[in-house]
Amino acid sequence: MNKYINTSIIKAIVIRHIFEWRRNLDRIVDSFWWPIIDMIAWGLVSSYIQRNNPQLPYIVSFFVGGAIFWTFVQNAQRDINMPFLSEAWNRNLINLFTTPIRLREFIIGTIVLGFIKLSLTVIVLSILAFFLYHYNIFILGWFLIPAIINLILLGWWVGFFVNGCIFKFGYRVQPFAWAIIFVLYPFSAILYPVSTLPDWAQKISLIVPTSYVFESMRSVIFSKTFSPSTLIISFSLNIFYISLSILFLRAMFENAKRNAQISRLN
Amino acid sequence: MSNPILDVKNLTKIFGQFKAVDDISFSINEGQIIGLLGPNGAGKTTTIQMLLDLITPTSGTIRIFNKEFRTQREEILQQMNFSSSYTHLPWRLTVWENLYFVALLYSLKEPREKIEKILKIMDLESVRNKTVEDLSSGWINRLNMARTFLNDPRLILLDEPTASLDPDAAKNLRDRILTLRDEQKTTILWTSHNMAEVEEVCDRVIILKNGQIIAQDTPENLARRIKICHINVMIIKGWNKLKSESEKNKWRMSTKERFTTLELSEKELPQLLSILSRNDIEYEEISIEKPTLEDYFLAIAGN
Repeated sequence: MNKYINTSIIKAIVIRHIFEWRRNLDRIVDSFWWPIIDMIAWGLVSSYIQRNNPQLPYIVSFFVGGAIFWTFVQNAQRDINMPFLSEAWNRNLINLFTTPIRLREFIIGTIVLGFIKLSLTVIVLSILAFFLYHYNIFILGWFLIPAIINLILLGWWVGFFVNGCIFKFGYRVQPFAWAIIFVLYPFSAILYPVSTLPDWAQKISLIVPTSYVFESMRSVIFSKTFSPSTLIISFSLNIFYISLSILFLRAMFENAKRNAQISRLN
Repeated sequence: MSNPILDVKNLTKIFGQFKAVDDISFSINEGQIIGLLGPNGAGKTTTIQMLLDLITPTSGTIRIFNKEFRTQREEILQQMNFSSSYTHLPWRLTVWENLYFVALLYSLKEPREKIEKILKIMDLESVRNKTVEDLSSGWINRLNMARTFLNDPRLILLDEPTASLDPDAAKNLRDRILTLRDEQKTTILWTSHNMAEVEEVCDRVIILKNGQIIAQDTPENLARRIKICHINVMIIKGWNKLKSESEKNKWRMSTKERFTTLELSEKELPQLLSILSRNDIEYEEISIEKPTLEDYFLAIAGN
């Protein structure tokens, strides 16, 4: 047993949720149904706009790329929150936290699990986008790797923050788990440039890591170039937020142990 | 004297202004089954949850297997397990999948072999591929117990393991726990509201009230502290006479079907027998009910 990380426990978290995922239609719908519906809807809208505006040759890439990229953010967050909520809904939190598991192993387990599920979702979406709209996500080239990392990191820190809030405030903040990510949606400038936003909103978008990713995506689509420095800013912001969110989660977990909140959640 | 496997000293938990556990100390030796009893709100669950690191104590120390729990949590929990009839298991997972999950959480070597063994002991082989949602509560309790013994724990905390089971299923489960305990030499801390069960399985009982330990002894010795006994007698003739004598002596008297029950102290027994003979009270059957742990519990809970 490693002193800091026990890989068997991480494997336990991953396998337990994969066992459940296979039999849970809700989770399958979350992973595939909504992202596919989103992508089809944006694909149809963009095809319609392009047919009527032939001077806009990249409009499909613009919208479909945005829809796929936003799926990364949304699913990454959900994949962090869902294992925790699922243990609570199954009234298994007490059973789980009375084993030798440490919070960091639970966090890493959910990250690995989320990565596996997200990869499957994105493979399915990319194949569909290619066949339906001849959109090849890989035309974005090497830009894809740092862009996806930044999008996933954002989903993760929002997820950790939400888990911390549930430890602190209980189920009454549960609706917040699914809604909070959409606070960042307008400031991320997914379907329009940041310059479209009012001045005050542009200032906020400066501290939202995803705004840099979507600006760069448009730059790659229109001019085939992007500035690595923008993605470095996005990455730095994400690292800052992820550190804060893990510290927050850890503090809320310890607070839950002081206030008997874990058994109340169970 | 052997080293205690669990040693609790001056354990206290305060929630705001409320003292849930108030400076309790106790220890348990290897192989013992200790009952933790108390009325609702006595602090049993808080105590158990502090022993599992689900609740952080306000003060006091917990040493398990001669190690400090606060600093060696993972090593200690590796050799412990917990089961409560109030927690559930992932209901979309099969019996085998639930056990495999637990085996990985405890980093068991050869998990599949261990699972096969426990499935056989708990007689769960026929339902191994059924999901928990398809099992009856009897099967679920058995699965719960299988996951509790899966890691061959040296110490188990059982929180009302037979609550919600009918008497037959409860006895069955209790027998399986005791068999496994004998095989694995496990130490058990057992909470229950079923006094007969505690009397049957526990070597010693700790009684909590208002967060404090108010008694600690064997079930027999605790029962002996109650000096009141119940005399059941079937009166043929002279019931009214007995009633007036009882009132004179301030004995509580009740009648159910053909039997009259008198509540008096053990030393008043000769006096009762003398009253019966002196007053020509005819009776057919007489029996003396000795005080039980339940009588003791009711007496202290009432006070």
